[in-house]
Amino acid sequence: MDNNVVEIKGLRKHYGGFELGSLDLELPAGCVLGLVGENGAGKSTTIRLIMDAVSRDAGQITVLGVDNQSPEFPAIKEDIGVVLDETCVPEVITARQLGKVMAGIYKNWDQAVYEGWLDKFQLPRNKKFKDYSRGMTMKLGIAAALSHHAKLLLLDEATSGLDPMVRDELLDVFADFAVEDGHAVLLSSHIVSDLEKICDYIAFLHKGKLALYEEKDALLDRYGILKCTKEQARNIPSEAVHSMRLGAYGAEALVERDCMPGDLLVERATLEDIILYLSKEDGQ
Amino acid sequence: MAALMRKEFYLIGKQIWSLIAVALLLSFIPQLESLGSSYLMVLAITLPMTTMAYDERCHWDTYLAMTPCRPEKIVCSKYLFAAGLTVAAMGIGLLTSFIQAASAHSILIEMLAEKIGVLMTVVTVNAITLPTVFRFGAEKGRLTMMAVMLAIFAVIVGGAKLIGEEGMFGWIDAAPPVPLWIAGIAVFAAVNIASFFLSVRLYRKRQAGAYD
Repeated sequence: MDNNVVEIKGLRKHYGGFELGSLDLELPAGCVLGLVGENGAGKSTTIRLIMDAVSRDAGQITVLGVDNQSPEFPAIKEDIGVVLDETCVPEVITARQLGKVMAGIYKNWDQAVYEGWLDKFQLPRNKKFKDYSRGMTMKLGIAAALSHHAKLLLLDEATSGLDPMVRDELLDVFADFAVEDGHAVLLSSHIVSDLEKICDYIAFLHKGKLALYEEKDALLDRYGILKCTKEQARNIPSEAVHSMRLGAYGAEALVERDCMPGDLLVERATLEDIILYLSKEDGQ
Repeated sequence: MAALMRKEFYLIGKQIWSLIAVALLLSFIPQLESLGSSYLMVLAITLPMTTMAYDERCHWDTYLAMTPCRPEKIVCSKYLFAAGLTVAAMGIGLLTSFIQAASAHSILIEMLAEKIGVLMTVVTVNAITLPTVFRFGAEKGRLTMMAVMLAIFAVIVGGAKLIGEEGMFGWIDAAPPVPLWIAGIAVFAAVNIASFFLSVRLYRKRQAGAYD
């Protein structure tokens, strides 16, 4: 498996009106991969395909060195913690009861670790799930995912709908998890600023296709934002420009820094700039 | 699997005790004794549907697909939960009947045989309806359950009216009991085994998104 915790090659999935792929991704150990894309881009489907909860039409997925359609894969699921965009816990169940259920589902379940997370997240043990706030429900899902000694965390919109302080707290948890030996995190999110904070790699899914897959730092080095007059914009080499917005007073473009003439000032692009411009490029 | 069944009991929670209390109350009201045990049997059929409706609402099965739980275990836990409720309902019904009975060993044997017959019928109703829940969801499963119960009721009552009680049930008394029980158990086992494997197949397809 080299050093990759997840390897996806030539993955394809076809639903009624939706086609995902072909997708090639790698998630090395010790890294956080951010999966970004608009609603319906295929982020959740990718996570379900990785867990073989949905069967693929073509391609290969290897998780922790095992093909996810092999008979050994259900045992490998012991080492994978999953948090879905909705926590999927029946509303009348309490955190204490959930711990007892999970203890029977995961052989490696560690009740002491779970109790520790409940304390850290200040989650009431006997409150019914329906009375939890959105932040508490996500924290409970994360507590469960972190309590069976997983090596890989798959997080589907685990930070969406949360206030910035809770998001920040959870991002720290994910980052700490990833640095442990042989661990990795795949985090899908709409919130690009979250991904920019903790991800080592970024994969951008756009309408089911992989529009971008690159190391985050390389991505931020490669692209820049150019603000100039319309006349200046006309003289930029076309291979440098990915997407351009023309306004009443000037132009703004996502450009490749290496292809730009030295006399124009190119500002640092945020990950959000890059994703937004690249998605517009496709529409142009 | 014990964990999954534990979750089922968490879902029905405290309401189960109040439902049992109502059934017990009915059982000891003169002339309503049979209503109490019938009510318990109806609960044994409807409570599994209720827990599956809970699962559906929160997408519990989507979560389970991400865990090491295999579909056979998940389906099996539902069947065992339904069967467990039925056995418990039968046990309570039998106990109340026994308390009410003047005594007599022969009455107990008769009651036991009758209750086992009812138990097998209830488990078979579940065996017919559970695959429809796995395929179409709890709501349509409930409709199927009602249709099956109505059909059984119609056959019994309609048949008794048409050909008389003797014509309808006389053969049961006339038939030798041992072969009759063996045949009954064989049919019961066949229906349940077929139902279980069909449910596993439907559940796998459902998990894979075939019915989305």
